[in-house]
Amino acid sequence: MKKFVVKLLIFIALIIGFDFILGSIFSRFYFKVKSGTIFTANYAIRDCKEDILLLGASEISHHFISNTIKDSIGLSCYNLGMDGLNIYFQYAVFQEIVKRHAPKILILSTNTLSDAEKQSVATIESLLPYCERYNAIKKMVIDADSTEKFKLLSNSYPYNSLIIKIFQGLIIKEPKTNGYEPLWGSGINLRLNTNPQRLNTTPKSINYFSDLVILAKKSGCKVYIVQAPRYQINNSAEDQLLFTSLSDKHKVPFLNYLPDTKFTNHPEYFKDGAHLNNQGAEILTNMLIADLKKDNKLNQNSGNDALVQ
Amino acid sequence: MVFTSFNFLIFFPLLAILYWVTPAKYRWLTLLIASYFFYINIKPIFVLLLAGVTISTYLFTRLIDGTNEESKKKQYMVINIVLILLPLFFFKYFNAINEGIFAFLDAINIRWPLPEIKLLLPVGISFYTFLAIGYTVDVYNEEIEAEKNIGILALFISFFPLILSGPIERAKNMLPQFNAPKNIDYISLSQGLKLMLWGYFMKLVVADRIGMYVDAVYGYIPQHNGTSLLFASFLYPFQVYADLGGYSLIAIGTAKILGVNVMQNFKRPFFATSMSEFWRRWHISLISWLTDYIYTPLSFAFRQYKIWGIVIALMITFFISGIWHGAALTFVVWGLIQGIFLSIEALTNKRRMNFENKFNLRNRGWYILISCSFTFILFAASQIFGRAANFKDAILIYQKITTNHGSLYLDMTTMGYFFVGLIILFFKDFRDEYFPDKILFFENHNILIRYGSYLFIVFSILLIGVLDSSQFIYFQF
Repeated sequence: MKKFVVKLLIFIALIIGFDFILGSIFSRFYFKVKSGTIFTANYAIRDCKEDILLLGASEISHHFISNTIKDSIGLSCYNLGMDGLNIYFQYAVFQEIVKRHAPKILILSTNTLSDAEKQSVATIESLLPYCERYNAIKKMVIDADSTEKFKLLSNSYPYNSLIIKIFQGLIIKEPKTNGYEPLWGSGINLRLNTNPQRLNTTPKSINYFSDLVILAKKSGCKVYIVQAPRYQINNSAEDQLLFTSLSDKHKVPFLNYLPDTKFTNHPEYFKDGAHLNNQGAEILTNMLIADLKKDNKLNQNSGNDALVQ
Repeated sequence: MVFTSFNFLIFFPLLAILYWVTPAKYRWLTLLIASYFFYINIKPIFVLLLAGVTISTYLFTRLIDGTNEESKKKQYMVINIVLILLPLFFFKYFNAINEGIFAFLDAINIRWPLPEIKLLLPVGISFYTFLAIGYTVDVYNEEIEAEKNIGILALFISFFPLILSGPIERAKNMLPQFNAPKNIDYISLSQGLKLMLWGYFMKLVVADRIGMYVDAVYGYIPQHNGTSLLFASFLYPFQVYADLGGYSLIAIGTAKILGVNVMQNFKRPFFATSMSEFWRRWHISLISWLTDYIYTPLSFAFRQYKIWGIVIALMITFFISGIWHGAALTFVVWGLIQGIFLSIEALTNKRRMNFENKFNLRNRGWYILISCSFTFILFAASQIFGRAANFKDAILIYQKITTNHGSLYLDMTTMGYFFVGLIILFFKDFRDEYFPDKILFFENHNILIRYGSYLFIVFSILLIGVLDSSQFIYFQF
């Protein structure tokens, strides 16, 4: 028995040692990544200083062309949309951004409110590598799942399932699209799904959404809530009510592109049922620009101008 | 609480310490309390069902033991089997029967529209029901005496490492171990930990990673072409093997650390050269249970039909196996396909053996490779019914595989990870099958290689495993 305990202790000591070494190596590489979602997350948390920021999941990253917005409005712009991530990520990122920089405009997607289990797990996983360096993020992660407090004792655990992404990101260079990820080709086999699709919102996700809007407004940022178009209009009335009430509550404009007939039932603009291709993204980006300009004109008249450089 | 949850990693070491410091006389009680605690943590109300099955089995097996009248013994056995099968039938087949009747009433327009009741299947019910039936039959056949201590019997039926997905153990192996627990020993502890480590690797690195690809394809069948569906269908048997095989190893390892030896559940099934050999290597505890309690009595009953009696017994046995897996047409067809494969082998066995002996094929590498591949293809093809959500989907998959080809759906990250896991798993199984004493890792005498391989597996799990506490496939059965 003594022999077993001694060997077990040696083995545990080895695990702790290797865990520390591997974790340190991955951490070093992680923050040197030059492309992909890791780069976007690193950039958002550490470096971004653009005037216009877009926050959301894939309905942001594939839908809004940052360079077009920059050229049309004349303000620097970065698309911080990250596929499959929700409000936990956007709130954590924005908390870090406002510590060093006050953006002028924030475009925030309604989809970030989704707190579906799979999405929340993916979001928490994407934040793990930042827990060691950013206390606010660590607090959020533990708030979302208390067991993470213990799991984060491991140095290499935050880099679970990231090896391929890290090495891909070290080799491939980021295209100069300022976070916009175009999708090419038009959707085939798009199936008609007219059943109302409800977002899995939770009180927690709604609170974080509200906190983010409040934080942005407090830092002098003009906030726009946007709802991206889909191939089929299958939104639920309850969700629409929630988005409108959030917009009213925080007195921020709600740009709802979902019911726009320009997109509905137009497969040529879609890669799949929920994502526009580059052609569709161009149209939507121009619509957003027009709306921002229109709102800016109104605000200029009322003396509240977010687009002044 | 499942083996892959964070809670289990806290629960099990604490239990192991508590178990070994408990006086030997009361260790069964520690395990019984732990087993019920484990089960309560899944769905508290279902504990009542588990307790009900235990009480019924205890009472009727004591009655069987207490009488000498053959007819009464039989009567008690049948009553208990019917009683403990009732909850299984009710929970497992209620929804299916309901839907069938509703569909019929809809078809003839006489359905009264009332809200549907969807019942949740109590986890592990198929497994502990089989444990209890096996024990009842063993007592009836006088292979074992009825257990006098209801606590020990309750532990046998609820033993936490086995209750959710097996292996489906036998009373004659387990009851003596609970009644006279072993002393703590280095070898059991060490072997138990190694089995658990390899089980976690199979589940988290191989099964769950393959599952991500298979789910992405099978979850959107109309969007995928036949090539991707074929590839996913070839991957699925590996997923099930790594999932249930991994679960079994964790269960066996857990039990071993607690001083209890449990039967093997898988024996490198993809190295089988025929379907009958495959079924001696795949889900061994279920198949041996079906063989002992269904196939053998049936083939005895049908012995006058000679080889055709065996065919009938095989078809019925695998039909029951299909039904046991789920109340759906897909599982029935899956079971019947296995029955047909095995029947064909039984009917052609003599000729095949003569042919193999004539040309001395059994020792030829190329023949073994072809036989293994053919067996795997047959099993993978039948597993489409085991994986598809319904019969319509299964047919669509076969149609697409045969007619609609195109470029393979690629998810390079997921594929990259599972290929690493699969290669390691294949290498280990290949070594165990053909060179069991060579290229040793966990058992190597060189401490550097031994500890190096433990660390390699630990960090493979930590870095490329899927650590989201996902469920095991067989929990749904």
